Amino acid sequence: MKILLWARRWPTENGWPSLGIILFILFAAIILLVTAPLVEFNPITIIKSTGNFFSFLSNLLTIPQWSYLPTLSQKMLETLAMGFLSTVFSFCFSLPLGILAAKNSSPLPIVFHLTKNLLSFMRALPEIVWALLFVSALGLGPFPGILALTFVTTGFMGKFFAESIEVVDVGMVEGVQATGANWLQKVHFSMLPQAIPDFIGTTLYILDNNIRSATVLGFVGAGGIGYELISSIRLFNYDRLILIVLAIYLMVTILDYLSTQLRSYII
Amino acid sequence: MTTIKFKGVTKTFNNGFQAIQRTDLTIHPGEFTVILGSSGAGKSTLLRMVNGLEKPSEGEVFIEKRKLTPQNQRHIRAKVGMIFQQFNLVNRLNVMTNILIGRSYYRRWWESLFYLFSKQDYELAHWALERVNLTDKVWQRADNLSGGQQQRVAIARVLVQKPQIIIADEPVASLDPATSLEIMELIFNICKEDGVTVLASLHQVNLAMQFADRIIGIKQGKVVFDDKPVNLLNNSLLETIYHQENHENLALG
Repeated sequence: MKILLWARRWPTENGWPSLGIILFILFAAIILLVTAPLVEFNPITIIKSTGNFFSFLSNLLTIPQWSYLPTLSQKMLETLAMGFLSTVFSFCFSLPLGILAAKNSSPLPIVFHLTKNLLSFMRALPEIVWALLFVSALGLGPFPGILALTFVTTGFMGKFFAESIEVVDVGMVEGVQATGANWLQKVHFSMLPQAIPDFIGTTLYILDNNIRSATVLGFVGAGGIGYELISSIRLFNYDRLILIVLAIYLMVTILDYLSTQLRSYII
Repeated sequence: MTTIKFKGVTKTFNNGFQAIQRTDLTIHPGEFTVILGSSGAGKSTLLRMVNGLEKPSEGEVFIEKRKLTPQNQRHIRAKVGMIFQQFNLVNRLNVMTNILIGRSYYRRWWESLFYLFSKQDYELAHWALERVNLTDKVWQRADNLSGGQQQRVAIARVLVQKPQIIIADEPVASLDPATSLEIMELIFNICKEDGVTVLASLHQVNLAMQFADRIIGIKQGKVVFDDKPVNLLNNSLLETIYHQENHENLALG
């Protein structure tokens, strides 16, 4: 069978990239050139505004307002709690939804399609939009924030869980099925044990994501450090801002370290 | 003592490949029947029809006069133990849990959810472990065992099912010759001591000759030989079952 020139894979016999690759790169370059003005992408703007950027940063080089520390710690704890709680809730919802949304573990095709669509609906809008909705319905505070985080990350976690289940070894599943196991036993005994390392990895990633997202939900009044952050920026309270930024940075770094340790310990 | 009956079964896969041509077979109770054939001859497909892991395109399978249907499939699977080429244990679970899974059919859903098995289940599991000579590995993870040990665990899982039939799909294809012999002896003893009907697929002619009461030769989905092992010694028959180029499989070592 004659292979078409544009479909030939690289490396080719003559050492030149195939026509397909060249055309693809050209296509990408044209798209980039056409769309750059639409999004006002301009490298010169970046160079021009370096001055502004550094003057903003230099503002941060001020003596921190130490008396602000107790409030800051309380808000940071609230942020952490929001991240943890929403991850726990997400996990509880994602596990059954993930099982129903995986092609090989879903009991019926209709359930598979419905759950899959439900999950993509849940993750379609970012947390902050849901937070806005929940704040207007439930009032200010961390509770609507937790709901928003839970809602969106269930959409993601459920999808990731389903994908982990879909790649489990068929042989192990057949081994369990052949004993006369029912649907639940098949999923529970043969699929979940195989998918657990992936589940743990996903959950730690979502925890990381939720804590970072929890820091900005306060922008719309949904609890956590975000409200302090946005008001310090707007009110030019640089002596507070430096503390907040450092605290967020520290928290994220420590969490990253802890989750790496935990992951290597469990998996 | 249970009979297996294939009545006019055929199997054509979605890609159009016909794995089994119209076949009528009766596997007699308490016998050790071996299906011989080269790769792709249809051995596995035929075996997997016994417990419904593969559905026949046409025809029916009867287990002790009961027709295999989606409704009674689980009930029949509970009485038909299956041994696989790749052992098919759940890697991350320990030996004991893998064996107890053989009791799944008798446990309620909420008991399974919490891995709750009865005292009798545990007693059966210990009995099975002794039978396969693996009592010292009870709490090890399945993937920490050697191939031969994993196949023993798989056999123990079948034993706790208290099966009437054992189907063994190339049970020793992934094992070295010495271990293969041990595993075949183990299955043979279960067949003869417990009166279990065994239907095994093999591609080692020597093992088939040594253990089988009856050999069914299959080529391109069609039964080409069905007789006592002693009558297989005619070389032209072996060549009928295997292709000429597969001569290395015929080594009667």
